[in-house]
Amino acid sequence: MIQTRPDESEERLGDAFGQLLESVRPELVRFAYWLARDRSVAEDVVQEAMLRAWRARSELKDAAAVRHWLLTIVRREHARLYERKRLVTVDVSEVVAREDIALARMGDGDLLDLRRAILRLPDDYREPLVMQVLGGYSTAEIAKEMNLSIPAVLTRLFRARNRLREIYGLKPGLDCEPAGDEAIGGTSVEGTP
Amino acid sequence: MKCGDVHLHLGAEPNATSPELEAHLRECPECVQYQREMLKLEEKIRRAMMIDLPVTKPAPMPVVPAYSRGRQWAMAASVLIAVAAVLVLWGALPSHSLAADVVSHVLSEKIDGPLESPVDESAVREVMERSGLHLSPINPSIVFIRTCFLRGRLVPHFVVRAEHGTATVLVLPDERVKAIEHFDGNGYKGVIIPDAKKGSIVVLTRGDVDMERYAAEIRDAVHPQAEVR
Repeated sequence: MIQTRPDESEERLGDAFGQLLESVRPELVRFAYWLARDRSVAEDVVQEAMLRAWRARSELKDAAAVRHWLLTIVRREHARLYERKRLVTVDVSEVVAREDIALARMGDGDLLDLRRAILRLPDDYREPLVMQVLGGYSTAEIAKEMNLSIPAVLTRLFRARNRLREIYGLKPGLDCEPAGDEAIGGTSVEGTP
Repeated sequence: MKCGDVHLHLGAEPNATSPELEAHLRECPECVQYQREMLKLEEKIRRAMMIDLPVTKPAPMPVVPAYSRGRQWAMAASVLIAVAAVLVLWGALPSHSLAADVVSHVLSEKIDGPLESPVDESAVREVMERSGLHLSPINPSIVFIRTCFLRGRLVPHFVVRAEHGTATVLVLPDERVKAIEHFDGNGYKGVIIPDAKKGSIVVLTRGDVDMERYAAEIRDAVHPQAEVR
């Protein structure tokens, strides 16, 4: 007998999954925002990611892992922008200026400089930091996701925070190698596994 | 463990702990101070990132129900009929997915505002530049513009006001179609026109708009940024 529509249990599952997606969407948008530094792009990335998640929902084996699974889809969807090398060069000052008014409205005025500083971090430093702080990824998970060695991830996280220390006038931590953007990929602990 | 190693580990994972780290901290007040600073900073970073962003776009429609394998086989006949209908109506399979993705994207976009006043030229320039493009002045006027993420790239998405309504325009530099194609679905009529250098220009509307005319005009007005410089 040919069934022409999903049975009730499948419909219920789909409804529940849709509600789940909707409930985590603000968190996904926030995560995507700090990756993309643009609210509109972040929302689009999350929309595409939600569609992918919906299509692949039967692959989700562990319901408890859904948040991590969705964050990973969002990160990969955002990474597609870079993998295809289709992003034009971004002027960081313009990014900060564009987002400044919105960030200032979000309260916690004492954190405005820190938010600006996070936006100014190079992608290679900001992405692992966002994955760790907002996504709860372990260093090993970040390394696997970004195709880096664990020491490379540790270095990037350290240097990201070192730059953020500066805005509070704190002395930078002791770096084993000369710091600077050129150091990415060029130190003794950086590199792919 | 040396101070440099401690700084690296605490800088990377401020909450980290290990027997070696603890042993070093017992002997080194400078590193204890560094750890305190990093823990305070970590709390601030977490608070700084925990911003609330209003979600302005509705949830995307689930377009592909995940049926079981058995049911997929059972539905094969109806799928074949549907595919045949699509091929007849839309001409070619590759552009079907492009048209479907465009309509799906437009349906999921929430656009506020009266869409009456022309947007600022600088906004147009900024959006086009983000996609590596330039747009010469066009008639009709652009009443809404933003950068959107579609099929893996950032593309200009704008709305123009014509005599008998508005039309949505998407400039897709990386999408190729062989010939002009029309589509009709979900209340939208649309046209995709190709250009060897510029990819595809899509115009779609729910109103009574001469889409081909505007699509051709916009195609002529769009230029890769590299050519303009």
